[in-house]
Amino acid sequence: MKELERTKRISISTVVFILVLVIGILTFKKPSNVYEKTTAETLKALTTRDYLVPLSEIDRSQSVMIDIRDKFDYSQGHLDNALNIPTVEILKDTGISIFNELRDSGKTIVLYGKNPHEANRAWMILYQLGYGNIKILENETRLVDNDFQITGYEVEKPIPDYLDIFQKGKTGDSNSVQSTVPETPKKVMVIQKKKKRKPEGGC
Amino acid sequence: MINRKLAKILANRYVILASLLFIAALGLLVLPGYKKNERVTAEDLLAQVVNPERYMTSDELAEKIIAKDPSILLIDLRSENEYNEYTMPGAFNIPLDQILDPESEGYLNQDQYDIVLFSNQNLTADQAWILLTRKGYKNLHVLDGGINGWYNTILNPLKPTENMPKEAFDRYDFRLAAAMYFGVGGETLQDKDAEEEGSRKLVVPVMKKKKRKPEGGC
Repeated sequence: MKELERTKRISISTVVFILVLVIGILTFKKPSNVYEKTTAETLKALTTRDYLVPLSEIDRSQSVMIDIRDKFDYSQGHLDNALNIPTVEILKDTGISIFNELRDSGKTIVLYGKNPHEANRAWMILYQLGYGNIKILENETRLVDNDFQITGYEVEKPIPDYLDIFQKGKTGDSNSVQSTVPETPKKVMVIQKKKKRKPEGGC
Repeated sequence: MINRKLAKILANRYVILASLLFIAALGLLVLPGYKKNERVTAEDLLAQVVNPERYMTSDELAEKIIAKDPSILLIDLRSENEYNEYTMPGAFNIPLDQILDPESEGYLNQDQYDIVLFSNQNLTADQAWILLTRKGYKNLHVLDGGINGWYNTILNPLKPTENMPKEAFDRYDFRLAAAMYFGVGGETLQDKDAEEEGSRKLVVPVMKKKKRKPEGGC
């Protein structure tokens, strides 16, 4: 009798054990986007600055331009043949499938936004996910009178002679300080008294 | 006959069960290495990256430095040469290629200070921010515009034109005073304090926060 009870207990615990295993396997969710590059590898790539390419150096037949600005900006003007994948959508199914397709076809992807800083965010994420074929357009784009324009841009370039501002007063014997002081009342005089706005709305 | 066989097997059931489990445990060793995400998944990171909350404007930072806010820790990500040439008051130099070094971790991975990363522009600071955020570090900020933005707004502010609102003039006054505080005009505040202690102190006006009229509502 005692023996039978023990067998029952063992068989129950075995069933429970197997059940736990099955549930664990069934509910196991594979992470969709996994980092391929460690932070150290990414940092190494960052310091080379290879990922920045100006428009003049891009072989348009071998590369695909991707506009990472939002849909409205894209609709107002964009580069010829550029695709639009806003930064927030790069990891969504439609976005990531385009990147996968382009990676398999061996084409270079060039990301651009208003400036390289904007494109950098999407680039950083995609690079860490293992998309090595992506570059950033080292140009600034802007809309001037409904005309989409591209201008050159140098990243991380300090303002020339910015240290001179600390020397300004030394040579001129604090002239600059004196000159700034009388200017302030003038500014006060100019203050346009804006009409006080009544609180708006309401019922 | 069958009963006897069954009884024989049943007699060894513990051994059979144990060996089965043992084989299953051995199976764990040959499982394919499955990919696992680090603490911050790519989706989370993207959500944080597109959020402009990390940016701190030059005006905010200037106010905090002038108010001697002890919770601010400035990290200069530029090269050592650039750092020696000029840096923000009280900034600490960790060039971009050293941010993952173990020596830097003590400065970057803590929850005591609000860390403000800056470089010449946003690019390097953003990159460092993304890498460090991926590692799960907290309290990181980026100085919007970097040193160049700092120069253009605080050290060398643009005079507002007459058609600008009053706030623009207030801000301009604040920036002029802040520029003097940060040493524009030849004499730094530290020199001044040392030389003429009894003289009037440089008072930097605190920018008033704009009071918004209540709008709408029923």
